[in-house]
Amino acid sequence: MFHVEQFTHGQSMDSSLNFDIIVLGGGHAGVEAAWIANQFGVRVALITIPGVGLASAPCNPAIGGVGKGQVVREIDALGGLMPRLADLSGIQFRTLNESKGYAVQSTRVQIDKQVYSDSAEEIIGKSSISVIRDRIDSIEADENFGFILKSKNHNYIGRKLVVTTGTFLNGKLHTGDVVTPGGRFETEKSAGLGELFSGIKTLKKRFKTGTPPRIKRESINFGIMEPQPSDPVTDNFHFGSEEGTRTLEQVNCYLTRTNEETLGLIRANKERSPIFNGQIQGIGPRYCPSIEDKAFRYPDRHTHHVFVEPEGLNLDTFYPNGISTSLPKEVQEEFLRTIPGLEQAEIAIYGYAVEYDVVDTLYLSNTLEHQEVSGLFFAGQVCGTSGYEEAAGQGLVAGANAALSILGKKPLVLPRNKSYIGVMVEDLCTNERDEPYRLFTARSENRLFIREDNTILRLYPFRKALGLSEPVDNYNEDFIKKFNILEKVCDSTFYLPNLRSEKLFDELGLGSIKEKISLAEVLQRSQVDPVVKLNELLKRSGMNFSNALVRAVAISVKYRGYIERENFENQSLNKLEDKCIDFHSILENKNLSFECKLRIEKVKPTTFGQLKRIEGIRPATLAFVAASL
Amino acid sequence: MKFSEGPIVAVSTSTSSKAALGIVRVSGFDNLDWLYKLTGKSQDKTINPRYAYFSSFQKEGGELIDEGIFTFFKGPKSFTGENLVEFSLHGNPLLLDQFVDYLHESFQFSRAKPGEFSFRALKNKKLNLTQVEGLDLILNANSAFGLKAGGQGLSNELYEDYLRLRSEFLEIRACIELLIDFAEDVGEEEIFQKMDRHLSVFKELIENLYKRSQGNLSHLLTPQVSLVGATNAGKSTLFNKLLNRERAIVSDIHGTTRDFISEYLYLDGHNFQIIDTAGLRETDEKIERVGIEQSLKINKDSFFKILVVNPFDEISFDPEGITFDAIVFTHSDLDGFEEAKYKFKSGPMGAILESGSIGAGVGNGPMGAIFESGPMGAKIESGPIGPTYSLEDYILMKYQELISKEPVPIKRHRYVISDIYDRFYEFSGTWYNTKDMAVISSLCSRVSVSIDELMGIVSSQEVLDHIFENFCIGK
Repeated sequence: MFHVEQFTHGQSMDSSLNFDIIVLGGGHAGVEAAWIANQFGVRVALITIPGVGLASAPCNPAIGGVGKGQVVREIDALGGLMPRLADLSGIQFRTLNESKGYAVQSTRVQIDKQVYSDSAEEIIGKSSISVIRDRIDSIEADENFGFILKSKNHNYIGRKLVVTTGTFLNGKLHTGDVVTPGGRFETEKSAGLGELFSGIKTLKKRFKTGTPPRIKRESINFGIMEPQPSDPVTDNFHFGSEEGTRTLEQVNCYLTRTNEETLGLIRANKERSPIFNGQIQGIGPRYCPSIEDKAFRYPDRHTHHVFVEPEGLNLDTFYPNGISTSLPKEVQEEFLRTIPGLEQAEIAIYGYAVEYDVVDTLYLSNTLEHQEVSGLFFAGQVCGTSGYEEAAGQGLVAGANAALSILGKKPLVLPRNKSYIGVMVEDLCTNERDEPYRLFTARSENRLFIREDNTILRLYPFRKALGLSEPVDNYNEDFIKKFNILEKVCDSTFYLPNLRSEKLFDELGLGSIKEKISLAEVLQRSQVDPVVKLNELLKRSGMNFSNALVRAVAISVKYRGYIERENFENQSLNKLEDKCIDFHSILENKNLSFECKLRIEKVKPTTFGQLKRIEGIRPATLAFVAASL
Repeated sequence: MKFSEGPIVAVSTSTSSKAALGIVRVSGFDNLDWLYKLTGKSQDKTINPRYAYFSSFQKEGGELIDEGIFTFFKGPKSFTGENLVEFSLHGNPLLLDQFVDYLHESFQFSRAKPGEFSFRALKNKKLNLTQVEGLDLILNANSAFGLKAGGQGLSNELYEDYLRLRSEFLEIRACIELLIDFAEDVGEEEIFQKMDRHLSVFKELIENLYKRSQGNLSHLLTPQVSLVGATNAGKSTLFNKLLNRERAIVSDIHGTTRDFISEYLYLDGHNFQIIDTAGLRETDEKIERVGIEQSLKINKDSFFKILVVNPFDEISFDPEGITFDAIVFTHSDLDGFEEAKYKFKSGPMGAILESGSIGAGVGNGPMGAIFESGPMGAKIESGPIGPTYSLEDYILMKYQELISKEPVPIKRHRYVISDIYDRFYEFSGTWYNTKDMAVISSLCSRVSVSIDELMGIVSSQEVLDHIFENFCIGK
C-alpha cells in the first residue's frame, strides 16, 4: 500500500514553501501544467533540476507534425503555452500532407531550441509561478497537508502534486558499452519512482528512446544535399501571432540518405550495439526506430531518409533526423561519414539511448489523477508517451485538473471524438503500454472531424467551462461568432444560372452552373479547392475575414456531408461502443484465451468500445462479448 | 428476448411423434445433488464425467418415471460449456414432457426457450456466431446441401474465409494509415505499390464471396420442383409417377386439382419439394382463379419448373410469364402424337419453347429437355444431343451445378457480404479518383465496420433474436 509518513510539526517550515500545486519537472509537460494551473489563481510552484532551462528540447528540434500539429492547436484553444513558444522560436514552417486533402494536413515548425527555452523562461518568469531549481530526494503523502517534497535543504508542501519527470526515473544512458546514470545528456540522475514513492506502480518493462549524434555546422557540406525551404503560407500556431508573419529568420532543412555502405558498417558492428547485444532491455518505439533497428529489422532496405535540421539560428549543431543510435562513438563517426554531405562530419554530442521507468497509466483516471493516491497527477514521458506535444497535452490536462480539484470544480475531460488530447488520455488510462505512445491520426476514429482548422470549434466549450477570462477566451468567442456568420453566408448565398454567374464560375474555375446553387454546394464540388475559392469569392465581394477563419469555414462546409454520414452510421456503432460490459463476468469464462484474459484483467474495460480498443483482443472474443450484451 | 440464468432443461429430440428414444438435457447446474436424488444413487458413488450410466429415475416418493441412460458432461467440456447431463429415455412425448415437468417443479430448473442451449454455447465461447448459424442450418435443413453447409459453418470453414477477408483488409487499412502518418518515413511510391497489391487480392476475395452469396437461398435450402400446365394436361399423373404412388386424384375432368399438393421427393440424397399445381385455364370461377394465381406464383418461385403439355389440347391459358426448365409432352401413346407435338411447336405456344430457360445447364439447346410421357409410364426421350437423361437427372444436374458454387447459406451473411461488396467498391473507386485521404479513410472504415459485422462483432439484438428464435428443435 501507499506509504504514508506522518508529517512532524516540530520541523521548521518556511511558509513561502507552501503551495496549492507543485509541479515536479520543468519540461514540456511541467511547463504546461504550471501555466494552466496558474491561470486559476492558485499558488503554483514549478520545481526543476538545476542547470537545465525550462521546456528544453533534448531530442529533435521541431514542434508539431502529423497528429501532433492538431495537439498543439488544441493546446492553443485551451489556453496553453506551447503554441506561443513554437511561434516565437520557429525557423521553418511546413504543412505536412499538403496533397492529401485538408482533413489530414498538419503543421510542423522547426524551432530554435535556445530561443524556445529562453522564451519559456521569460514568460514563466514574468508570471506568478514560483520556479524552484532544486533536487527532490523524497516525496511523502500527508493526509492533512497533501504532499511533502524534501530536498537536501528544503521541504516543499503542495496540496496537489503533478509529476512530470520525463525520462528521469531510474534513467540510464547508453553509448556503446559506456553506461551512465541520468535522464539525458549531461544532467544529474534522479531517483526511481520506487524510491520517491513506495506505493506507485510502474510498468514492469522499462522503455527506451534514443537520439542521434549532433553534427557541427561547419563540418557539413550542404551543397550536395537537397534543401527544404520554409513554407510562407503555413499558419502560425498561436492565436496571438499575426497571420503571415514570422518572429525569426526562416532557414532550410536538408535531405540526404543512408546507403549500403552506411548500413553495412552498422550491420558489421551488431555485437557492439547495446540494443542488440542485450545491454539495453527497454522497449523502444516501433514508429521511431534507431538506425540499428532499421539496419537489422529490415535487411532488404538499402537506404533511408536523413533530414539534417538546424537546432537553432545561432547554435552550432545540426540534428540528423532518422539515425538515432547508441553505437560506440567511433562507429557513429564512421557510419555518419558514409552519408552524402556528411563526409567530413564532426560530432559535437554523440548519440545515445536512454532507458527509464514508466508509471503504469492504467492506475490513472481520465483526469490523469492517480486512482489510489488522491491529489497526485502524472503527465508526459513518465506516463510512457513520447514527443513534446503529447507531453504538453497531458501537462495541460493534469495541471488544469489539479487546479479544478482544489477549487472543487468539474474536471476537464476531453472526449475522444472531439480531440486528439482526449484520444491520448483515454488510450493511456484504458490500455496497457507495450511501447512508448505517440499520437497518430490513425488513433482517432473521427479523423474527418478532428482537424487543425476547426480546433476552436471543437474545444471552446471545454475552455469556456473552466470559467477563466484570458485573451484566449475573447479570441475563441469572437472566432465562434464569426464562424457562424460566415457559415451562414455560405448557406444563404445562391447563384442563379445567368450570364453573370457563368462568367464568375468560369473565371474562378468553379465548374458549370445549370441551376440555382448555394455557395456551400459550390465549395463541396470535388474540383473546387474550398479554401482558395472561398477566399477569392470573399475578396471579390469585399468581405474581410482572417485566413484561419476562412479555412475553418471552407473545410467544415466541404466535409459536412461526409461527417454527417459518418455520425449517422456511427450512431448504431456507438450504441455498441457505449454499452457497459462487466469484465468480471468475462473473466469468469473458462473458454477465453489466457492472453485475452490477462489483457482484459489489466485494463478493466467498462464499455465495449474500450474492450475493442485493447490491443491483441481477438475477433472471436469481441463477438463473444457482443453476443452476450 | 431474455434468456434465464441458472439451470435449464428441455427435450432435445422431436416431440411431435413417438420414437424409441427421446433425449432430455439439463445444463448450468452447480452440483450433482439433484441427480443423486433423481437416480436414487448413494452420494458416495461417484458419477464420472463422460461415462454412460444406466439408471432408473424416480420421484421423491419413489414413484418411477422411467429408466434410461444418463451421461454427465462437466463444464467447460460440454456443448454449452457448463455442467450438463443428457438423459436417454423412452421416446414417448408424453413421458418426456412429464420428465421435464418433474425436473422443473422439483429442482426449479427453467424450461429452456428455443435456442437457449445454443445461446449458452455461444455465450461460453463453445461456438462462434457462424457456428451457431451453421447449427441452425443443420437443425432446419431440408436439403442435403443445407446440412452440408451447416456442417461447414460448424467446422469453421466459412469463418476461416471471413478471417482471411478481414486480415487482408487490415493490410489495406495499414497502407492508408502509412500514407497519412508515415509518408515521410516510408516513401509514398512504396505504399502505393503495396496498396495496389492488396486491393487486387481483396477484390478477388470479396468478389468470390459476393458471387457465392447471390442467387435464391430458398432454392438451396428447400428446392421446389413445380408442375404447371393447362388443366387436364396430365400434371397429377406425372406427379404420382414421380412419387411412385397415387398421391393426387387423377380424373379426366378439367380442373380436378384446384389447390396445390406438395410432397417430398428424395433424389440421390437430396430432398426436393415437388408441387402439383392447379391447371391453368381461363375461368370465371372464383376459387379456381385463386388456385390458378397460386400456380403462377409457385412457378415463379420454383427452383425447377416443369411445363406439362397435352399436345392434343387447345391451349386456353395465357403463356405470358410462364418459364420452365423442362417441358413434358403427355399422351405419347396416342395416334398422331408426333403430328400433334409438331403442330404444338409451330403453333401459338411454340414461341415459349424458344424463350424458356430450358436445360439443366449441361449444354442442351433451348429445345433440349423435352420429355414425353404416356399414361402408362414415363416414356422419356432426351433432347437431340447427348446421352439419355431422365427428368430426375435434369433436376439433380441443375441442383448440383447450383451447389458446386459453394453458396453462402446464411441469410444474415448474405446481406452483410453484399454490404461489404458495395462499400468496398465505393471505397476503391474513391481511392483511384481522389487524393483526399480523410475521405478515403472514412470510406475505408465503413468497409471495416461491415467486415466486423460479418465476423459477428455486432450486438444488434435483432441478429441474435433472429437466429435464436428461428430454432425449431435447437434446444
